[in-house]
Amino acid sequence: MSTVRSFLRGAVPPAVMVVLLVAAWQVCIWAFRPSAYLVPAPMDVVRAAGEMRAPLAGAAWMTGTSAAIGFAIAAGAGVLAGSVLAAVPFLMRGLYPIATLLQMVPLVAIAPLLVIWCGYGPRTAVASAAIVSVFPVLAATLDGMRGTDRGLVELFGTLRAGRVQRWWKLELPWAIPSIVTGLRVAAGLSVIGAIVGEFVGAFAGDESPVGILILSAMRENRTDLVFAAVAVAAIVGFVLFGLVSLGGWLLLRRWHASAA
Amino acid sequence: MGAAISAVGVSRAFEDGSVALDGVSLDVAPGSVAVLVGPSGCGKTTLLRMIAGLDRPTRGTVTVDGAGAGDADGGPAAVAIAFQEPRLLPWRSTVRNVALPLELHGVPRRERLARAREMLGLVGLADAHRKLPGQLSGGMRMRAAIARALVTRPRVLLLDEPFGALDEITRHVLDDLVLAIRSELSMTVVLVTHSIAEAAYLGDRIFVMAPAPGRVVRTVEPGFAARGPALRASVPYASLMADLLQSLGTAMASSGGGRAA
Amino acid sequence: MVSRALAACACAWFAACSDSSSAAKPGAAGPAGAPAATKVRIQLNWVPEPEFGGIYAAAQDGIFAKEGLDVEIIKGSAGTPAAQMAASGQVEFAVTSGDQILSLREQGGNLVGLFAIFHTSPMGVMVPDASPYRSLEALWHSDATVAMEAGLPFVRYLNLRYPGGKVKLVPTGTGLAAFERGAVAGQQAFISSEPVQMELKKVPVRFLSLAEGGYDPYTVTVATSASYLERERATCAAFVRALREGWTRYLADPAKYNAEISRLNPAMGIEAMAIAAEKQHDLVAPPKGSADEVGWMPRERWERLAAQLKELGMIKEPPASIDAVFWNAPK
Repeated sequence: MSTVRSFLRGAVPPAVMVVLLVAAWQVCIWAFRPSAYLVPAPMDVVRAAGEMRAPLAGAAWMTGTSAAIGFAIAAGAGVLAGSVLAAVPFLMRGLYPIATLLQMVPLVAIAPLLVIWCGYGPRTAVASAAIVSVFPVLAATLDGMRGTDRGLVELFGTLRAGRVQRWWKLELPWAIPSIVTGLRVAAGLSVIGAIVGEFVGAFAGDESPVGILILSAMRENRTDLVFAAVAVAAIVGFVLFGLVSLGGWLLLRRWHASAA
Repeated sequence: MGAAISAVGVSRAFEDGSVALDGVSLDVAPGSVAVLVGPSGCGKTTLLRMIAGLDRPTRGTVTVDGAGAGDADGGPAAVAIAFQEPRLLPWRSTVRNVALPLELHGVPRRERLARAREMLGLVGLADAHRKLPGQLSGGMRMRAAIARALVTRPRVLLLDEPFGALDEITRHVLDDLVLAIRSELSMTVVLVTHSIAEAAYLGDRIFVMAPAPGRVVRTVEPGFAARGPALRASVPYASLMADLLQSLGTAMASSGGGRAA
Repeated sequence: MVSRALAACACAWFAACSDSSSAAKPGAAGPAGAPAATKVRIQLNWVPEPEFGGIYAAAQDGIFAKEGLDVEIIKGSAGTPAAQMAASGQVEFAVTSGDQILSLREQGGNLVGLFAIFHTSPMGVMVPDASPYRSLEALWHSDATVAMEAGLPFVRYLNLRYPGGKVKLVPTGTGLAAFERGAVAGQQAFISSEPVQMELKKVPVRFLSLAEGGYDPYTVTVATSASYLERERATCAAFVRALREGWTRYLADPAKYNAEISRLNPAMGIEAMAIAAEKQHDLVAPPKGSADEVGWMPRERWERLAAQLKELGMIKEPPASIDAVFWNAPK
């Protein structure tokens, strides 16, 4: 199947679903007439988005950048940490359960601490995005590496390969399909992480990121704006996810079934 | 020049009490093709792995040109092994797969790729060098694996049931390839197989092994002057096969004592 | 805050499903023939503090009971959507602010202000005493970092009044940790709350008042939904009368009631509450010589607030009839 056709096959059904869901939402609004401050109509959300398109676009850029940088940090750290844990079983047995436990700590609880450590501004959003993204990458890397084909490992043994060589030329490429999956999960989470960080530590002003827009829209009882900001955040997350997926496809398409 | 291989009183027992090899001794002349043939559990693969340095005997010694097999001095280039599965890296092209052993030892890119292409030519895969393993047939992948084993110009080539997964015609072709390689590059070849036909065809010296405990029950040097389709159809070949089969049968019947690995 | 966002979403979902008519109904006649007390709830928009002193006084001295009301006082915290809860009928009364009453109206939430606890806004910005900024104007023209709740009309007002400022605004966290460690040069505050806590920690601070800066909205206002007021006018009148009496008593003797409030909010001690009550006194008690009761809301205050909010772009238009937005119960 050609690339264009398979892309359409993947993109059209969800697009149709979105249109149907929005239509259903609008119908419910017409039928039940809830107050605007409870649930806005899709039209109101679109109108609010139009009115505020400049601030929303600026916010999308700011939040998207913070999320992307946090994601990049998490990707690097996650792959490295996952590699180390895969290589040293003792460390893995000791640290992996702790890492899982840390993952359970809700981000909103540690976000105020991030402000203390990173100060106000985008740095906190970046840190927050990184923290929430690192575990999926770590787990995927660890998983992928531990599943390295034993026959290939033995082959590298017979070729007298060094440990680093084995990591770089065998285990890492072997783990890439798994890592890509982890990266895709992390991409979506990174936007949420960035916004949570913004809730506690971002600068509000002429140019505010998405987290601040959400907070101030809530305070001003502009639920339509809240929905618009959330939709923008979702789009940013989707774009990041799409970029990562694209990267994964480019890496894997020649040789891996998952990229078919 | 191929290396001489020697096993003296080699035994291999495992923790669970099973005995893979029990007091096996054999010699492989330099530049010759030695075949270890026998049913599952006779210890032939275990012995091959010891020559490769992947395993150590519990008793006895295995040497390559006098040095202990598997010692660092045996050198990466001296003994090469090809397994039953090709074990190619799926994300690398064939030529980069074949070049891998050289890459791991720091040979510069241009040189290692040239040598890899040369080996691919030798095994008849000159046109496939850019392809990915996923795009090759089973037989082609096995050839690539052999090319990889050869790229370091080893003095010993070990083959562990390399053609077991392939169809008969391909097997015959690859048998001849092994012989061609042995003469072109003058190396010692030790091949493990469970196919009597293959053993009879290839072996300069054939070691028939039986399980429980793993041991050599018969050593045969057929001394065929030439190989080829004619040989496969000939009477001496057929009677050699019958002979080997019979030896095996006897050995299996009288097997007792020692649990098979 | 996140908690506010989450709470509001949960609220919206629940309220959208629930019936607007609340659970409070006039009590049926009890066994002794006297009517049972009407059960009502009031949702506070912050933790129990002296700013709600009169409400607690009315409860403690049985004033509510005397007016035939069985009142449940529900404490709030950062992010409690008290206004939305009253508008959707989840509670009968809520403490909110004047600007919220007006802006919610444009979104379909009809609230009516009943009782303005502070006739003068207690809001402002707290700065360390050693701070070089001696006025809001100075602060706004600096590039200092100030913690302010996002979306406050207060901020828009200051931005409008002192344009071209480079001040950096960050969200208020929980508590005063950022202020104490000097991470922010100023923090949004109520005169009776944050500065008091700092004083008790022996940290001298200065309070820059918003009202003095020209923006004096009703803050801390008790409101109810328009539909509830229409149905239960008598109950609302009784409630307001009780609040007046309760506040009068609280203003006269805060200490009598602070013990109970402190018990409900152990984070603020009795000493802090005493100081807070003292600081807020003049902002709550009717000015000398005024004939108004405590909590009384003159019409022109609401008109002025609506006009200011329109100017700030917080609402599109002032309400067609300003009288729909507030109601002073008869004396």
